[in-house]
Formats: sequence, C-alpha cells, structure tokens
Amino acid sequence: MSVEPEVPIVQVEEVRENPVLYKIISSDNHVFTISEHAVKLSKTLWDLITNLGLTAENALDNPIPVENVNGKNMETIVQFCERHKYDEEEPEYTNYIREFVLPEWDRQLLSIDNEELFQLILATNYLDIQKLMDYCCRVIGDMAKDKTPEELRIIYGIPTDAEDDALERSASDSPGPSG
Amino acid sequence: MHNFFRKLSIRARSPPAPKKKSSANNMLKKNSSGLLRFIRNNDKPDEEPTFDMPMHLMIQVIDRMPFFEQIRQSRVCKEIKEHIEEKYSKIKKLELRKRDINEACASDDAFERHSKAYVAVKIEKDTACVVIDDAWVVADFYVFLGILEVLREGVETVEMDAPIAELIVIYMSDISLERWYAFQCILKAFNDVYEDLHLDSGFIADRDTFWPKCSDIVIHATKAQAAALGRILDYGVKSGYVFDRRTMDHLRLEFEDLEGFDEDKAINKQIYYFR
Repeated sequence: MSVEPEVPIVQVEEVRENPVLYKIISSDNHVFTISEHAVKLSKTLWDLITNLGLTAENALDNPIPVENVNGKNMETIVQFCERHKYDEEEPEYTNYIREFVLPEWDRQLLSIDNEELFQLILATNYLDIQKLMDYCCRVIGDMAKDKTPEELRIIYGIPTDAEDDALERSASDSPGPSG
Repeated sequence: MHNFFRKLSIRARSPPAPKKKSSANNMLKKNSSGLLRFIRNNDKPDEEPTFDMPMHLMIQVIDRMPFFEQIRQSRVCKEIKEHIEEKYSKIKKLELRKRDINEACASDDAFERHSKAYVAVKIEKDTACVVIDDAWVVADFYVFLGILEVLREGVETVEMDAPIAELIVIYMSDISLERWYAFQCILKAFNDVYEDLHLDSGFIADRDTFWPKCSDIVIHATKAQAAALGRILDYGVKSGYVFDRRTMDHLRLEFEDLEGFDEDKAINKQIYYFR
C-alpha cells in the first residue's frame, strides 16, 4: 500500500474537530484527503477502512486506492461528503416527497453535464453513499420527467421487452461452450 | 375562476387528448439500435446522450419520481413495471374521497395532483389517499380508476365515500363510464322531478375480485349520497366481485348527517337496497 502520489494532493476543507484523515487515490492517481466523519458516509470506503485496520496513526501512510472512480468524480464526492458529514442520518428512502427541493449548494455541485452526472451516479453507487445517490437520482428524475417511456429507453439504453425477448431467444438458441 | 365555471357546467370539457407521435418516433419505439440513437443524438447532440444505465440504478431514479410519473414510466420496460407493481402492492390502506380537489390539496402539501385530471394522491408508508373532485367528469374517472388498478392488489382496509363505491361498481359493470356520467347529469338536472331514477344492467360474467385481500370496508355517506348506495344493486355486479367474503371482517356504513334510522324513510329504503 505504498502508492506514490503523481499529482499534487487535493486538499479539502480542513477538519478542526476530528484530526483523523484518510488518503484516497482515484483511478487516475489523484490523491484526496478526507476526514473520518466524511468517509463514513460511504459504506464501501468505511468497510474498506475497518477491514484494512487503518487507525489515526497509520491512516495517512496507507492511501486507499479506488479503481472505479476517476479524480473528477472523486473530487465531487469528497466535497459532498465533507459538506454533509455532520448531517443527521436520514431514514431509509420510502416514498417520493413532492415538495423536495435540492439545497442550493448541492444543486450547484450537481450542475454538471449529463455525461458527468451519469459517471457520478455510477461512482456514488459503487461507493454506496445514500444521500448523494438520492440527490443524483432526483436530478436525473427531474430531467426524465417530461420524457416519454420511448425516449427514456433510448436515452438510458434500455431495450424494449421485445428486444429483451429476442436477446434471450438468441442466447438460448446459440450453442453453449460444450457444443 | 376556471374551476368555478367547471363546477357550474355539467358538460365540463375533457382534458386534451395526447398528441400523436410522429412516424419517426414510432420507428425509435420499435428499435433502439445504435444507428437510430445516432440519428436521434444528431438532433440534440449536447442535451440527450445515450447512457447504458444499469437497471437497478434506473429503478432507483424511477422510485424518486412523482407518483404519476412513476406510473407513466412503468411502460419503459418489464422490469420497471414489475418493480412498480411490487412496490404498490404493499399499500394496505386506501382512503378514497370525493371532495373539492383545491381544498384537499391546499390543506395538505403531501397531495400530488394529476397534471390534467382533477385527481390527487397522497402516499405515506402503507397508506394511500386518493381524492377525486366533487365536480368530477369522465376523464377524472379514468385517472381515478387507473390509480385504483395500481393500488388495489394488496389493499386490506378501504375507506371511501358513497359515490365512489357506486363508481367502482359501475367500473366493474357492463355500463360504460360515459353512459353513467350522462346518467349522473340527468340525475343532477332532474333530481327534483324523478326522485328514484335507476339505470339497470344485467349481471356481469364471472371476473376477478377487485380487492381480493380486503377485510375492512367503511363507506361514508350523507343523506344526499344515500341514493348512490341504493343504486349499487342495479348494475349487476355481485358483491363477491368487489371483495372476497371469506376475507371480509367488517363492512361499515357511516352517515355523517343522520341521527337515527326512523327519521327518514326514503334514506332507510336506500340503505335497505344497499344491504
């Protein structure tokens, strides 16, 4: 676990109350520092940290490589986690709240083009950050609101049921590894 | 002001019909191949790129949409449809009201109103409340009954107003909703002349139970709505098609403005028919 940072370390908001910091390395070798409270928002990262046995003493010496997330997305994610690290834990999502309004700070953070937003939602899903996932889904949901189901299928590459059936049929008709 | 005139008129205008899709869109519907994606993306290259969204993420996105949008998007594919069906089969309590939709929505922010029909819905945990405007029209019936179709499967407790009970029975009968609405207009126009007007229909063929798991039904009525209860018998729908007698524990009728049974013989007669 001795990956040398190739680019300058991206410093996030300084943590005064909690001195424990962790280093994360993105897939394109950007290094990020994140506080303990913030990293706890990601179930994947926190599980990794606990499984690796990282402590306050050795955390900064052992950067955590995250292969599936690039630097740009990781920067957004770190910013989000630092911003929301002291938020009260929200209950598990149940039903749509009609009057939900994305907070201004988060709205600006997620004001990115569709391709980046899509990559961000994949990264968020991988890192298992419930709140960011919720926000990203709502932003995408708002974008999809005026679309017809046919348009959604095209935008998000969802095959029609007929195409699905045809794929299944062709998969079952094609000879398997043995024959 | 628009709603005011709507209420005055018994020939309230239906919502505009959905616009017909162009033939190019129909082609896209049938085939979402790369070539067609390319053609489409050429129209709006920056706005609508094509992603290969994993289905479990697409479902999370759909889950966070408004209720009516979720129902509309359940047509996207089989997986989403099944997810929506499974999700709403967990609704156990249903409250169905006929009242002023503007007042209902103003009194509770949680109501989500349909964009065209005068119908609103509120869903909290395992309870759904659906309100239809008291000046309802046929288009409202279709939206309202469409919502009930989505929510009916797992329902165990239903509270509803008497006119809605009649609407549900009509929906299950051989009488078209348009014809019944015309009948309602006649009743409204000639109520004082023909006190006891009925629209008869033959018995309907065997069909599935509308609320197969329902164990408690409460019907709220006023004196003015008692005739709706009396007419339920006319439409040829057996009670077994609405609920399953084996699962039914309570069927309660509550009059909001009736002191006792002896005071109004006309109402007693309607209740007798209903029973």
